[in-house]
Amino acid sequence: MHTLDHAVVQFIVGFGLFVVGFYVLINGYYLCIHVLALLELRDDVRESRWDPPFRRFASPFYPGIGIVVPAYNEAATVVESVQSLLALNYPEVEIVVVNDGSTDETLERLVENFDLEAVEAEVPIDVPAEEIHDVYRSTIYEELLVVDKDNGGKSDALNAGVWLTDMPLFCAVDSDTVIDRDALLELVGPFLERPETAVASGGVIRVANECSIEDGIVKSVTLPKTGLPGLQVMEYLRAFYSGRLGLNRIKGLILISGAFGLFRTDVVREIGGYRQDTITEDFDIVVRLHRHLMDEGRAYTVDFVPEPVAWTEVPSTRRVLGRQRRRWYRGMVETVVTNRRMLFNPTYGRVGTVVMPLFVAAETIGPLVEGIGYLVLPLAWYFGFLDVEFVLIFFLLTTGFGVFLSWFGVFSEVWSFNRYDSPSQIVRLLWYGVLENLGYRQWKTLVAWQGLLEYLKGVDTWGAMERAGFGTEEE
Amino acid sequence: MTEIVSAFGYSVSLTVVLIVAALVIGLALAVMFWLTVGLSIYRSIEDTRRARVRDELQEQLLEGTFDPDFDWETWVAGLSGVERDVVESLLDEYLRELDGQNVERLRELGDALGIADRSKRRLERGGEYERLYALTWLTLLERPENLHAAEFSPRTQRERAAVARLRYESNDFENPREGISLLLEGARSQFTVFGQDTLYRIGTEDPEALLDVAERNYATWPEPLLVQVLVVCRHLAAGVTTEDLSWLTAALEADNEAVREAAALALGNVGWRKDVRSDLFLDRLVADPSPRVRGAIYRMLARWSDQQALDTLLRALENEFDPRTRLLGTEALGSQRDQLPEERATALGDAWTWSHEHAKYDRTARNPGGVRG
Amino acid sequence: MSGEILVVDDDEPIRLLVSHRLQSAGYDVRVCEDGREAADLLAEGFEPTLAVLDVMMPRLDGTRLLRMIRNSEFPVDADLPIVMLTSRGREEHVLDGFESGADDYVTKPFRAAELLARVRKCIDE
Repeated sequence: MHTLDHAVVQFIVGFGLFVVGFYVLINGYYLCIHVLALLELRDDVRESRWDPPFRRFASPFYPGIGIVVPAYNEAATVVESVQSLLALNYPEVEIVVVNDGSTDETLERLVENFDLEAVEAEVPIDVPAEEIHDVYRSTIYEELLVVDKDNGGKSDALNAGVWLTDMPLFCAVDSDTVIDRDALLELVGPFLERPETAVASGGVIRVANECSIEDGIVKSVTLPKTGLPGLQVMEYLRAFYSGRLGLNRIKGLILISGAFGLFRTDVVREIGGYRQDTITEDFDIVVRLHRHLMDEGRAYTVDFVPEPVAWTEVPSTRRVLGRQRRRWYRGMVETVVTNRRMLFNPTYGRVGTVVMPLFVAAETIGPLVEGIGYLVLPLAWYFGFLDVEFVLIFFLLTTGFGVFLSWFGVFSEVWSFNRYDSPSQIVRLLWYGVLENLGYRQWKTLVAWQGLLEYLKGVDTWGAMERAGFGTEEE
Repeated sequence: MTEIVSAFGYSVSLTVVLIVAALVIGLALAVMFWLTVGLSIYRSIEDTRRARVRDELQEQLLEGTFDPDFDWETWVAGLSGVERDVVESLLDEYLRELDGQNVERLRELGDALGIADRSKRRLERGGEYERLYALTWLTLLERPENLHAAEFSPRTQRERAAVARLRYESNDFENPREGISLLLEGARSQFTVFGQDTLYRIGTEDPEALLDVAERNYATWPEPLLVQVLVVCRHLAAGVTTEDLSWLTAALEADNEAVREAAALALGNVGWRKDVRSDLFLDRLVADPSPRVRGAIYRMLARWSDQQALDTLLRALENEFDPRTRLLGTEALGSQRDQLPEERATALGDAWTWSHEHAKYDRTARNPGGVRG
Repeated sequence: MSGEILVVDDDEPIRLLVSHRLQSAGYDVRVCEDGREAADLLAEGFEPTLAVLDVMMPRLDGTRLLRMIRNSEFPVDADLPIVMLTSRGREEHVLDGFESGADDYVTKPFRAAELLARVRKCIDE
């Protein structure tokens, strides 16, 4: 009995040390990334201030971009989405709307509003997707192509679009995301600078709640008034400005949000397009791109463009948000597990040996460890196994340092693009930064555990195909 | 039971570690907070100041642009620092949109503001971005003399492009060849799209010069630059009379498929030479192992569109096994030709039917009258 | 006919420069920021003497607006004189414009004097 007690105590103390040590490591990683991001931002701001004296639209060197829009039961919004896409500021654009077997009037609305006619000819290439019934062309909009196919899910619909587009670059767009008018001009940058090696570029997603957006133009940028969306603004800011920018500087960008990324069509086709049974296809495809290109030993770059380019509505209720985050977590675990060969594998360069392991430690294992920490450590203190100082240090490292990192993110934003330009909004953001670490963060560890359990139980990805629309989590 | 933490031979109580950690984080937080809020307030004040004066300054600026009697000097002398800043940013916008005598007026305003002189100084003393901003201003103001007066020579490819643009827009080159040489001779890295566009603009004025300079220098170029130049050649006006395009046909044999592809597309535009036209050579080209390059060859042949090219193309397409490459070929064909002889059209199968129908829809969508009742 | 010239361009400097020039030449000018705003205006019955349209605009671009006017989709005269503003070097825009029914075009960067001359010519015809 005595030895068991002793063993348990040893274990708990050991665990406590492990947790704290783990967090020192993770926070060190985050701090480095944030600092790198700041350096990257400085270069980016200088670069964006340089406006060379030529007329971009008169230049024949901009590669055509195909915009692939998967649509499932979006009758209410599809026409408006397509209209705002038609208004994008870019020399050559093709819009491919893929009707993924909608059971409502999505297709009818499209046919009516854009004067569509079914193409008689058969599709001359093999498209790795569910059966395509018809392809439609518009008699007034040359750049519009509509594909009507059997339901197959988002990845399937995306693949149909990727295979049928004529353009050398494509961009996958969620139907509820609004893209800045000039976004494509920004996003195409890396492909112009390095046309042979650039394979993907990702843009910043901003929270659209409370911003007034009309016909695809963001008229004013405001912070959401309520808590949950506000917290997410903070979260997105930090994730993008510190996380992705920093990773970009060390050429380790492994996540491009699916809501807005630009890809080389031929390379994506090479890797077989989007994977069918993946939950977060955006994360998955970038990791697979890295893997494939490194396997082939090809020089390539994946870039991040920090000018804000796309806006999306985020969930405003805890229930919906929880569902979204559990899904993201499951997706992340699934992609990491599928690509576990890359971890610590020098074949995959810095992404394999450094970035992915740290990413997995911080984003996948981190929340789990932290969650246990929140439970175990106070209990351990209560029962006298650990000093209160120890527990307090743990909280300082997670919560306190977390607030610091969040505030660092806000600082980066003010220093660079300053889209929230009133100081009162900034103060509110800083407050959200505090809230983010007192409550929200802890809740997310719970979500992570739930996500993990769901993954282990094999919970179905999207909860069957009959859900109402892809990107929308709201009911 | 305050534990002692031992490391590196030092013993420190846990309480101390906690306090130190708390202090460090606390300090970091305070610094971050004040930095952020302070910066935000500062920028906000700046923005408000500028917004306040903008409308009125814009009115005055417009007036002065169209009224030759408006005295810039006096007006500028009466402006505050913030107002000057705003006027300069407005000037930047307007200079890009106007041409003719009104733009001359705006340039006089630029002189009154002393921008050209300031740019000259930045050229001599600033970092790379400073120099690029300076060159941009000199281009908008068309003041190449400030460039020549400055002790400055371009170091990077970007700077060369900016200098070339400035001199081209100001008609400062003796001839287009001078500009092309500046851009291409001794070039060691690729251009930005700005540089590529500049090369294109200058090259359009003398395509033969471009091809000539390329021919003499291409072997020294890194591949990305070669591809860029080839892409520019693709967009030059057709009907170039240069005799020797051997460098282009040599590029068709390069190892890198990107180079081969770009060379094919360039030849589609400028290659009416006999040495390219021998049947044997064409047959070898359409047998290229890379589908991407074959696609470009098909587009090249479709562009030429004479009987020999068409025959080769149709024969190749009939034997093309990769569906997407075949589609590339029929698309190119469809954009050049409305009709094909019946047997050949059927031999091409689905790809041709598809491309043909889509080409029809392309034309319909562009024609307004025939659409609605 | 209201005797006003409708200027439609999403670029503020251009709107200001064009309207200023036209105004100092004695014309009344009505300005819209994009094609949709202009379309709404025309749908309400506003009848300008002439329209200057930028080709690339958000929500509804110049060429489509032009086609809508020529197709009598608004209660205005389908033969309303229209001058298009295009970027220099995009010949296809110019051709598109003429094919769609534009009366004349001016390339950007533009000469204010030239724009004025073309506007006068179109109005007088």
